[in-house]
Amino acid sequence: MSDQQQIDKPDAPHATDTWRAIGFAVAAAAALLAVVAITVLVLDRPSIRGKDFLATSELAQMKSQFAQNPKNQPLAKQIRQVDLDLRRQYFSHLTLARYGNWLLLGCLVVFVISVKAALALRPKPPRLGAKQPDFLGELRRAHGRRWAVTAVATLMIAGAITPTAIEAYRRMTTVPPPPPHVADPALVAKYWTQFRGPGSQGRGAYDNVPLTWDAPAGRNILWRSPVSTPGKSSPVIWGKKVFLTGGAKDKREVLCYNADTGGLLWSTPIRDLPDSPASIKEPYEETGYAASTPVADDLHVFALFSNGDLACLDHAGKIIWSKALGQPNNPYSHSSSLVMHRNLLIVLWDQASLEDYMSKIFAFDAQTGRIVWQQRRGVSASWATPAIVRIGQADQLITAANPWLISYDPSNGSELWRAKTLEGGDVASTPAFADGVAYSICAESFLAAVRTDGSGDVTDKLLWQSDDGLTDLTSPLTNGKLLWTIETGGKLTCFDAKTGKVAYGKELEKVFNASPSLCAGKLWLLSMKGEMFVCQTGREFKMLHTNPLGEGAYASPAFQDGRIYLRGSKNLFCIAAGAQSPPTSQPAGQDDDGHEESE
Amino acid sequence: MSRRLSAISARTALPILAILLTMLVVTESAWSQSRFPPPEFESGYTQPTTTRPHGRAGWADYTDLAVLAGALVLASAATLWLRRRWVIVLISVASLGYFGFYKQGCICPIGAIQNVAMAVFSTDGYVIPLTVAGFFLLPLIAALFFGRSFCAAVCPLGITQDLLALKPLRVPTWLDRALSLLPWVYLGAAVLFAVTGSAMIICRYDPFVAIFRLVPLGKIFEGFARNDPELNPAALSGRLDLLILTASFLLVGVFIARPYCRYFCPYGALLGLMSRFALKRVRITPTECIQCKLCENSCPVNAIRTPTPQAGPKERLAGKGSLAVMLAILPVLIVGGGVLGGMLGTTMARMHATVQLADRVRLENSGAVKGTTDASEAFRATGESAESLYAQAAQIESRFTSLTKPFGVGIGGAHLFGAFVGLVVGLKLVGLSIRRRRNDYEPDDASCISCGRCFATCPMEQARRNGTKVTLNQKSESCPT
Repeated sequence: MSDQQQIDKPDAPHATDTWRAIGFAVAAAAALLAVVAITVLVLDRPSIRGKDFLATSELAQMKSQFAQNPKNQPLAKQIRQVDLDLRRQYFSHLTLARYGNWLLLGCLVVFVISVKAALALRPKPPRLGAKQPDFLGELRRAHGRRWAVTAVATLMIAGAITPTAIEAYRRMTTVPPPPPHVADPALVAKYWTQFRGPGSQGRGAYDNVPLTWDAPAGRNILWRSPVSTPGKSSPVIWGKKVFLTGGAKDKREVLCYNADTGGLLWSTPIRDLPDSPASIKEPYEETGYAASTPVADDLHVFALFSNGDLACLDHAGKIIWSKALGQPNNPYSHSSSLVMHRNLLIVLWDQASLEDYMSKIFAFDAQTGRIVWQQRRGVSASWATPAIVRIGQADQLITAANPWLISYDPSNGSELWRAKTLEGGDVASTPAFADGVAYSICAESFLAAVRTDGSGDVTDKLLWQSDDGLTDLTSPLTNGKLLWTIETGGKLTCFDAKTGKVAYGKELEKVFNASPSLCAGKLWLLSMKGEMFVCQTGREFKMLHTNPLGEGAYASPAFQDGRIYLRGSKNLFCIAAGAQSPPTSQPAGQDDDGHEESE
Repeated sequence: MSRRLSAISARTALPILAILLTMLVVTESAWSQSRFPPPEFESGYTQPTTTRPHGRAGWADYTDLAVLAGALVLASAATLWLRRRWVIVLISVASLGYFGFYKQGCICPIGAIQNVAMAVFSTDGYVIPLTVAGFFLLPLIAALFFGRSFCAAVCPLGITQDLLALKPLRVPTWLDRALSLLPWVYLGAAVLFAVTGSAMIICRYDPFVAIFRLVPLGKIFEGFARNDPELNPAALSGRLDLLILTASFLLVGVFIARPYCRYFCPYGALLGLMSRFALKRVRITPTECIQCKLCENSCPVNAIRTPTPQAGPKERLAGKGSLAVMLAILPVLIVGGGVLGGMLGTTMARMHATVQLADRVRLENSGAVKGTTDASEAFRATGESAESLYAQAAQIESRFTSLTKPFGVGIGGAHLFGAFVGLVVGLKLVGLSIRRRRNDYEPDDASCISCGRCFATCPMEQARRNGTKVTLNQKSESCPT
């Protein structure tokens, strides 16, 4: 019998066998109890993890009913009770889990102690060591161990390299995504795709637009189409389509007209967006539900309404994506229009006061609506539209709000420069730009000319500033040589754009909401009564033509090749030289009831 | 009948334990605590302000340090002088209760490696608390004097594994030696990621902290009110993969003694190094070794070294040749490791959350991936530009790839880590080529964890306990031949 066999020779039945059996029996009982507890906990686990326990259909339905009838107190009480019951249920699951884990830990402890005690009652005899090899055998074993170390080291290296290799392979074989879709800049410049046209500057590129018309008489009116839903937004154009937005308490919609015939191609309501406020706050009367002008590119049109609903539609009227930005905290309701930079939709979302620090600017991916960048802004609520202008090889996104005129890089939102030129008042005027100079204006501040090649705070480096011709609503206009402002009360002021000297001031004794425009070398001024004053552009004022629209007008005109598109209070007009449409029944300046339209 | 029942029970107990452990860990996530919005009160009820209990008093941390010192002294006494396994087990259980369940496994000397590394190498101005430094240094100092008494009876991770080693199997020596590389690699990686601010991987991947936080013992003993939200610990709302890691270590630990200690613990690597120079070490026999071979297989961690045979001149030359080769390739391994590490620097940098975020934002912005993650959405909500994020990520990456540029070649943390791994592998190969002459059965200086299991197998120890005297010519009752 070998040494080990001698050691391992089984003994005669021992008295400790009974205790061993008891020990193992206790261990088995603990194990069984633990398995039962574990099973219960595993089955109960979904009640605790992975879901919002308050998100039940019953509660959601009751809350939805309550939202429609907030005065229903019995329903409110019922909701509270259901909410309380759900919370109690959740905590009872947590309590079950807590006690279950105590039980499990206890069972584990009992199990280990029982098994160890049972094993200790009959300790195993030691096992004798094997015969030791000679020196060469020892060398061979050492050799084998070195190879084992080498193998493990190699495995570690392989394990470390593998993720890098996989990543490199993935990069090699991944087809790069197509570049984001960007509309042809030449077409963007050709069409009138946003508020006040290219760069939001109110400058038309065509020289062949009609200079005179008489809408009530139908002269030079190619067509006029009724706009069913009111709004202050301006028309935008891409190709043969004219886009408008309209809004009322019960309806917000995007409309599309045929640019040649004026026929309504489609209207798409924008409603029931997820996270859209359940009830819409009534906007400021003068602003309305649809004051923000949409923006269009070759594939889409984007629209924003006073309740913060933002939508992207294709040119057939189908909603591609939408977002609810939420009801803005804006005393005069939101009216900043949308602009685009390449594949980014820029939304200026200024609200509340400076101290509230709630203002933001967003850049959404036009295709998907994903936020590409956003910036918080230390400004108060504003109503100006941003201007995206080209300066050399780079673009700048210039924004205006109390108290800062701020320029950003539109591709990534990084701030380029800022100037404190708008302190003290409400800012609704879009900055003007020409020849590397931006012009900001605020009725409670001043008109300022700012160089756009600075960085940081350039407030101390203004080119000039003036207290004349300050506007509260309309935007300034410039051609680089001269700059014009038109006040709501009708005073037109012309400045030397380089020096800020006043060239002339002229009281027109009309009320103006729409900003002035430049096209075909003429200055275009649209009064609230719908009269378009066509003036010469020069250092002296001269009125050339007065063109009646026959109804009120708030929106800015859109200039296209041989045409002008104008939104009146009731109709959308297309004005083209040589056209004749049926005259209207009411004289210019009267509403449908025959009353004089007030100024 | 009872013997048969015992035999059956022994065979079936272990698999049941294995299943228990797995399921126990999986259900730990039942402790997860979700956040939910408070009810909407319209009756004018004002919700009370949430208060939190005060933090732990500063003196309490020094108390923990004092307890650690006391436990180390007791453990050393138990392993070196008392030489009683049951005393070691007693101290172990007390340590597990204090450092494990009461302190919930934190702070521990193992994780303190990262804090020390940050304090020494980081440029972010990190200042290590004295208690953390104490937790790091005390067991190392104890190892320098008394061997790995910390592993024997103080470390809660080791004790957990020790208690669960119910059927330890012998790991083949070649595999054991090879896997002993891993703690050093883990140590290097932990230092690298801590110094670069990427992650505290030792803490993140601690396989036993989930067990220690199963019950809020610490909170109960510190007098928290029964309904206090602290008694519903959210700590176990951890990821399923980490819970599976815990279960795996527990399962493996049943059959392979102290798997984490032997093959992963970075602090164990340092303790082993210190232990090589210990003033006083654990010996199997209290007096002389009688070469009875009874202790050889008693060590669950394969730390007992057998006597080595005599070698003639020819054999010694062969051994020296192997050693010379290993010494020659050592610098190659160091340099090669450094180069390889540098190649992996960019991949390793992805351990940093900012680098991960920059990658994700870059993919989203380029359209390569659809959708967003919580992190990328949170980033965009800050208003920070993607370019500044990319710049931050590049700066972090440079810590891995080009901290400094001697001779125009960028060398970063990843290079140093690779060189360190090369050094470890090379030294391991050199160590395996050095032949140490041994006449007796001895525990290995570095890998012996002073658990005391070998004492009971030694007839000389039995004689000491019984008060009898054994000489080399006298055979003890336990020696069969």
